[in-house]
Amino acid sequence: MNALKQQVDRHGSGSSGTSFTRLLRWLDDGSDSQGERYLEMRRRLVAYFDRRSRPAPDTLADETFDRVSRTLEESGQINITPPARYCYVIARFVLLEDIRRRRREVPFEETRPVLVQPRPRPEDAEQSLDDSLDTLGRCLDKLKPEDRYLIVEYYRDSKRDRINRRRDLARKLGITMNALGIRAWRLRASLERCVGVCSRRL
Amino acid sequence: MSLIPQAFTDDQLIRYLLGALPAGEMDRLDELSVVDDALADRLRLLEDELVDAYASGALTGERLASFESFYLGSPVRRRKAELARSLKATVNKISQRRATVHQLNTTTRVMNRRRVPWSRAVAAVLVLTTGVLLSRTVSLRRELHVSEEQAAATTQRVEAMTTELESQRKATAIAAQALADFRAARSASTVALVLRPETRGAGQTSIISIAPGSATAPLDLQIGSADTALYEVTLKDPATNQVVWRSPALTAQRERHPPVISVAVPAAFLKSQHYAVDVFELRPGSAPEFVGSYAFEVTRP
Repeated sequence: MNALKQQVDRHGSGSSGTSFTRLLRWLDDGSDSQGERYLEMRRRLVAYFDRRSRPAPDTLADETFDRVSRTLEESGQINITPPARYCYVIARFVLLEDIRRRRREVPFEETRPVLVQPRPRPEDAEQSLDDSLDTLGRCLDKLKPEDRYLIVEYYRDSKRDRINRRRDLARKLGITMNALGIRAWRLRASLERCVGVCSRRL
Repeated sequence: MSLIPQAFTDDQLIRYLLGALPAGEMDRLDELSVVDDALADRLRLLEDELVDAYASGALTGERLASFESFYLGSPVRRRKAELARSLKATVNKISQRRATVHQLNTTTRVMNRRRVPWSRAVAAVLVLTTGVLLSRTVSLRRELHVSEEQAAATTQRVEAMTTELESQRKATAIAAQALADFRAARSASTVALVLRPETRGAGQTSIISIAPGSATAPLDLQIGSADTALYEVTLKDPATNQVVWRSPALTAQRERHPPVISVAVPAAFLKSQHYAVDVFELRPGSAPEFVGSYAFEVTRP
């Protein structure tokens, strides 16, 4: 719940304590995920807005939740199931509104702008890599030893060796390859967040 | 929960991630990426694979072009690509370090394994050497003990012989002195008083008259038999039973029959009275053995 609260505080959700609690309960849909379902849904929404090339995907994800909370507040319940589907419906409206707003602000026709990034100069790329390595090293150090071991084992080697290693790792942990992948992804996402926070501090 | 478990291939999903699908499919996958748990997970894994492939230079052709033109167009996704690059470099570094440590450990284990026979061999040699040395030590100790015993016996023999030699030297010196005294006495008094050993119911006591100026009173003391032994003569005052004079070691004159011990008693010790002389045979390492007692009377003019 702490991680959840930090995340909510960071993104400055407009939901009040009570409405936010109602939102969590509604997202859990009868189970108690301790806020995990909210975080998961938020990640999916951020990815959705990002793939739609919106410049502020986090803000749009929070805006989506604000609207869902307001509906829950006003109507007391939402009958569309699963909750994720309703979230997507609202997110689609938020996306379209954002596109329209941006169009008004910047006369640009594309909803999926193709932005070819200029390749960085080699020396800048080198410095950037050094900084990233330092930051990632610090973030890796913050992981629990077993998580650090898992992520290193999961991402080492390449091609056939990598597949075999992951299969062995999953067998060792007693989980499926898919579950292992999800676990690794979560660790990678936490590293990504850590690197993002550290980069902003620099 | 998956609404459409395997409706989309990996290739389709990758093209979705690269913004390369037709609009209808894009919309459909947009919805599923939010609503369908399984698809959301698949997309994440495929996205990581895609980004890792780019970071490791495995993307080529159209896919690379799409990646650079679409995927890297978002700051969020660029950060993913940067993270993949850093992660790859970091994981490689850690793997190399682990590999080095593993190799070192393996090498150490192999060396340890190889070292075992050497250790055993060295231990065996040490045990053997120790055994040999112990045996040698015991043997040397025995030899040393025997040598010490032999040395002690030799020392005792030497000491005994030295003592005997010393006694003989003393005896010789005494004899020489006695001879000298005898010769001196002879020069003063050429006749020696022959005394026989006292026996029960003995008859008259022999009387010796010491002339004025005489240095000694010569006595010939008869003994039953004689060998090469040395003898000592003591002069006692019968009134007090005190030895008033003791002769040096003397030898018996075996050529006389019966053999006699000639002794010259210093005249200074003799007064006009009765005296007794005792003869003892001197034996090295044991007490003198009583041979006989002789009585005589001294008269002085």
